[in-house]
Amino acid sequence: MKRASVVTLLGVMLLSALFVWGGGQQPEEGPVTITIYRGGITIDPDTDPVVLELEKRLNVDIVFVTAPWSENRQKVNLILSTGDDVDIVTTVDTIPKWQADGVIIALDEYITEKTHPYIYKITNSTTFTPLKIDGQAWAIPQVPLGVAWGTMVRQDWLDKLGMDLPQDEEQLYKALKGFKDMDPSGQTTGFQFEGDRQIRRTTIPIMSMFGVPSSFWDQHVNFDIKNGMLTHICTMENTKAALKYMNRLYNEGLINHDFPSMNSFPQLTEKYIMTGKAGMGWVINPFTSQAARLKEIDPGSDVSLLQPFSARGYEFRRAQGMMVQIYAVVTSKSKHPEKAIECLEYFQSLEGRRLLVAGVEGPHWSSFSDDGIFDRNEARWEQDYGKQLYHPLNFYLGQGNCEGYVPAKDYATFEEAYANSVPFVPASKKDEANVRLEYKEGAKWFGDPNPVQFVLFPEHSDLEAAVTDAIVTGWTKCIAAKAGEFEKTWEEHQAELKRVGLDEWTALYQDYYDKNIK
Amino acid sequence: MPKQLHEIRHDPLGKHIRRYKYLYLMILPALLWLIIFRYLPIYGVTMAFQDFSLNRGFFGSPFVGLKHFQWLLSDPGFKRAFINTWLINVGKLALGFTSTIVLAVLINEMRHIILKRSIQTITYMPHFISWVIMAGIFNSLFAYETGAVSHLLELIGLGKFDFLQDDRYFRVFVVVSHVWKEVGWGSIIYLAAIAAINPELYEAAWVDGAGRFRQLLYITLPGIASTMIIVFILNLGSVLNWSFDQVYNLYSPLVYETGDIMQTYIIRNLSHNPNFSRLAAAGFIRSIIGMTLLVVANSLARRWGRASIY
Repeated sequence: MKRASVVTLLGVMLLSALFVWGGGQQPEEGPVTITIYRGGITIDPDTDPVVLELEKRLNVDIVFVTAPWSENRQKVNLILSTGDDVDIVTTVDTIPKWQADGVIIALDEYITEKTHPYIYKITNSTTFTPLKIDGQAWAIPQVPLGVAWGTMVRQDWLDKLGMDLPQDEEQLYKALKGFKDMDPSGQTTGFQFEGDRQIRRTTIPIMSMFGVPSSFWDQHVNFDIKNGMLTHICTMENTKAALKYMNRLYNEGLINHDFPSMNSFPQLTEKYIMTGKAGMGWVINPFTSQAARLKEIDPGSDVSLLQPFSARGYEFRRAQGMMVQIYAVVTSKSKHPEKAIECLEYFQSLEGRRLLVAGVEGPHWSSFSDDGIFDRNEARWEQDYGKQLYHPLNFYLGQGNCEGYVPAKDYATFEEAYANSVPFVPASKKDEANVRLEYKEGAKWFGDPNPVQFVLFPEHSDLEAAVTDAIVTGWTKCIAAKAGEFEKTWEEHQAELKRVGLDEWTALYQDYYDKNIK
Repeated sequence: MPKQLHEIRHDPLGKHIRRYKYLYLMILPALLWLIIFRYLPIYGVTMAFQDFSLNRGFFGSPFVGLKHFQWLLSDPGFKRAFINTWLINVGKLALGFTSTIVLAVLINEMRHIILKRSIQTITYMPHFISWVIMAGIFNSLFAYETGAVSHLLELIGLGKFDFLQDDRYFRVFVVVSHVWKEVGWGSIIYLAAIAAINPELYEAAWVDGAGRFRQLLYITLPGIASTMIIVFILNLGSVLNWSFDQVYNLYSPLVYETGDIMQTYIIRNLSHNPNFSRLAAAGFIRSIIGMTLLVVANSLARRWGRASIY
């Protein structure tokens, strides 16, 4: 008994001594791990120079969790539902749902205008105020710098036909017919469309021609606002005229017949144009990567961008709304929410944007002018990133296709800063890349304000789903209706919209508009 | 002296398990799998009766009774999808069930061994190709403008058919393409059943003057009847769960009227609002119908004195 007591006592003393001895040294603060989910990431964070630099600058260990784009929604649902160990998730929508479920955190308690000027400006901007829930910001909208989309036209084909770029709907029809007739097999389509949920995007040029303020992103909030009255674009006579015109193109084989089942926009559109199966189509970066790719495949090719024009008797309308592809949220399971928000803030800063877009200072570039022209070390860049114009994280971590910087820190409002964005262009590609021109061209088609774009009614999500489904189905059916059956199909579409509750949906937005915006 | 079967049946459970411990050990992993992945998740069905919130979990989410079932059953889109699911899958069951038996019998009757094996391999190969890939192939083959089949049909004077985008053909296309893909694989079980029939029966029938057709009618088909019933009952139980990957990869808004099935409808609508409760309610409806079908079919099979699964 005595012996046991002595041994126990000695043991306790030894442990105490070890505790005191060890406690004298503070553990060294190592990098914390920040896990980021984003769909479609293909780079290796363990070897990528930009990620390694990010880790060094932010004192973090970055881990990516990813899934193919096609499984993005399911993966986000799974991560947030199961409470996987992920700090930052980029999600396409459903913020109110995640907020109600308590799986994401409010950002406001971590950010101030002084410490996090970029996130503060974005989340407190007039445009994104409707996104707040209970007066707090829960997500950071990822705003692309500009719109680098355009309708690519085979200029060499137009030249062969002796035609200029179309200036009205009949000239467009003749050009498309000419493209089709040039191919003796008859397999060439004039205008490459994609259907399903992509129909809202691929139809923009024609909708705009007929004065429909369409939208790249959110079909269900597409209202034409005149004299304080909201009219959903699906019920407009202009929309009917645009769909009727597309129906004519479809029935004459000038739009690809299989568009309803094509929904991987813009990849399939690009493929069709690259393989010479279509003479026109909506693509991203038409003057940079697409034109270069087409030139590689067909050295004799030449491209132009379709310029905005009106159909006779109609007034051209730009697509409306600010492009927001994705939102960044910090999960309530995050062990390091402050660090996660610090990372998100850094991604928006000038230093962060330079790193994410142009690569590491030194190895990849040596100088950066205020207007965004940088001197690229082409040999090193090609060794690391091949022919890519920008670093892939530009797309994944930043703000969608934000090939530059939004100087939110230097302006009173985010909107003002957005209007003064600075695109980044390597000096060697300044003319070839023509990013500035692409943004300028894109802005011809996009950018009319939509004050209700970010007004959400999560409690009416069934209605939203039903309205969206009815629009997608109705537009597809109207375009693909047999010759002579368009009117009937349009009437059926209108009846279906009424049945699913478009009037109720419009009334919700009208009420919000009257109370908060008007 | 070894015990008789009826004696073993009356052994106490503990003794029984000790006696056959190695057999029980072998079945243990499968049993655990069944419990963990099949029985425990059944509790999740409570979600169908709650407004499930991730934050509150199963025990904290409020019960809302049959709210989600009422929503689903009153929604015209869901009703349409429900009918389509039935029509497509019953079509698959009917055509698939008969065609697998016919193929098995035909292959069994073949005498040229190399040809027989080649046909067997060719017919069951499509089973291993996923619908994602298969849909790409079908889209290329059956595309209205550029598809080889369309051109072929036009060349022989039948005109073009829009199999994938015409409401009138879509269901038939889904059923036939499914049967084409799975017929070879489904016939394997019948070929095995046919192989188990005592060859002396055929010899005796031959001696008695029965031709191939009579042998088929009086020996082969009765010999595989039990297998046919078991396969039919099992298929019936899961009939409402079929078709998602196939339809999802083949359909478009033009064929929602005849091609939209329960799973695709739910996926499309859930993408706006991940309502787990509604999803659980839809799954529950499917399971209840599937189980009812299975129980009824099994009872009928037993009543008629044929094989049953329990």
